Amino acid sequence: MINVRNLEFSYPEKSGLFSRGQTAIFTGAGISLPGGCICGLLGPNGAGKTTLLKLLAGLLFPHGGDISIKGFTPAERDPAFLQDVFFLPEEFHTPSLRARQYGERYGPLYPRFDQPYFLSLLQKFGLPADKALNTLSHGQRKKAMLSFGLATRACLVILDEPSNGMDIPSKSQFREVLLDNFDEHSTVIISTHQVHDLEGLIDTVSILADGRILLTRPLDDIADRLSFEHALSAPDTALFSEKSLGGCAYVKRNDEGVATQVDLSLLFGLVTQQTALVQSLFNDAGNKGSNAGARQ
Amino acid sequence: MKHFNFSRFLLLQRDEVLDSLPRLIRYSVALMLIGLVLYGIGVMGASFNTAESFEFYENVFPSVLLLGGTLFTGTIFRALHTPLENIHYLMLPVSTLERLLVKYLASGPLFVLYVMLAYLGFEICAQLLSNTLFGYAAQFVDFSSAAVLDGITSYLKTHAFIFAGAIFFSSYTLVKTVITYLLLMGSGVFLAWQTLRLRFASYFDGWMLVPNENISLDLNIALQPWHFEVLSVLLSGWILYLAYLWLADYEV
Repeated sequence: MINVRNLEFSYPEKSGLFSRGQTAIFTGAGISLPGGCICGLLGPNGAGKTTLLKLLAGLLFPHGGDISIKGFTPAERDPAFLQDVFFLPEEFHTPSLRARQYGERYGPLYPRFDQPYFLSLLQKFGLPADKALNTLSHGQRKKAMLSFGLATRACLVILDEPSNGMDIPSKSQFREVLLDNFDEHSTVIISTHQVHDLEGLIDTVSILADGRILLTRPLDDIADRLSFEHALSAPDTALFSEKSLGGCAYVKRNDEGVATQVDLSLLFGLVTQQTALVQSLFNDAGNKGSNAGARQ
Repeated sequence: MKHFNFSRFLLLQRDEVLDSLPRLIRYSVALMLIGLVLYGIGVMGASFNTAESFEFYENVFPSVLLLGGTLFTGTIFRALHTPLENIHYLMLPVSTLERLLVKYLASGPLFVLYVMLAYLGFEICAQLLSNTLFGYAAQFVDFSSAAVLDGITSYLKTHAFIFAGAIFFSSYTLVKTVITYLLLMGSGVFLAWQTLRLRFASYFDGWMLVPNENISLDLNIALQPWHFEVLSVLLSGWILYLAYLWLADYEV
């Protein structure tokens, strides 16, 4: 579904009228994702998450390497590719149309768009179909646009910080709607730095830090190799630990073969602090498609 | 077809018209109100049975078209240069050719048609008002007259340049486009002047290209008006091709 190889990308450093060089974001990075997965893209601010999403959507062009999505090159902006991609940025524009009108206006551009389904999703979110989109709150607009995106039946749904601006009930609704309407042939990429919003929602995780893609793995695979536990104090075998209420949470090698629920916060801490160790742990067991790019 | 699908093109054209029309109507109504006041002053100040006053109203149309069209074309790619709005615009599942054609038609031929209809509407209102108040009014402008047709062709010739500038420049689009246009024209004249000076140095006296009457220059160049027409069409086509490339290469 998604294959990114040797990705190179940098932003120009501007000072006044003149460019003073380039800030490298990706140099030789790669990621592979199969169809039918919901991937959480984790990383701190400035890691290159949004840049990667824009590259995947064809809004930015790579300076080197290949990006292939279902055989399309995003930078070519082929209409057949764009019909199959829905990108919801963190901040986005909504025209001064009512939600129903928005569906009627832009829906026909997507061959599989389903207006009644769009309206039913709006209803699920408790949104009025006949109120101008630009008069809704940010969270409401986000839910309306997500409804539109799901109604396009796109094969690739890219969501950048989707839970930002959503209240607690909305986050639950968002999770429920996304899981209920997830098509097994689709791929959903959700970028966030709020890891708890992804728990129970994603089945694959990709971690970026300092412009590098450090790890891309299915959660099952991670649970097979790592064990996430709580105790009063971390044992010596712990690879990484964090203080938590009433003790500490830690991660260690899963030597017992008992799968535990992946704690994304712990995993993120482990991967960003002990990258080489984690990569060797997964590479030993056969790397199924994750690559890491090196920032230079 | 990968680059052009007629039904997709029609949908996009409909969206473009629906997006642009409210803005155009607002500006047109404001202009019409000003126009009605000026018309009224004109009616009170002069009679409309003279050819001169009729010509004046005939010449207003090309001015409105050129000025309004330039302003409208300069902002036709506003969505492309507005952060966030550009993501929405570029993610629409249409080809670059369709994006370009839709905007070109909206700001070119369709805009001309709109101005003609709006002008006609203005004239009908003005005539009704003038006839009611004063008992006489100006004649309707003949859209097939030379002045009007010249105005339309002039607009369509300059349109490609303003259109390309609207894609290339992300801010102060119109100002930068006009400055670039003037610089290019100036460079062209300068280049021609220098070429003539170098090639036919002995023919001219001084740097102002004053011909030396003692020397006969046997230039066998006989350019016909249609040569310039063909040249302007080719130039417009080339500029539109550049615009296509800039639009295809646009990143957010």
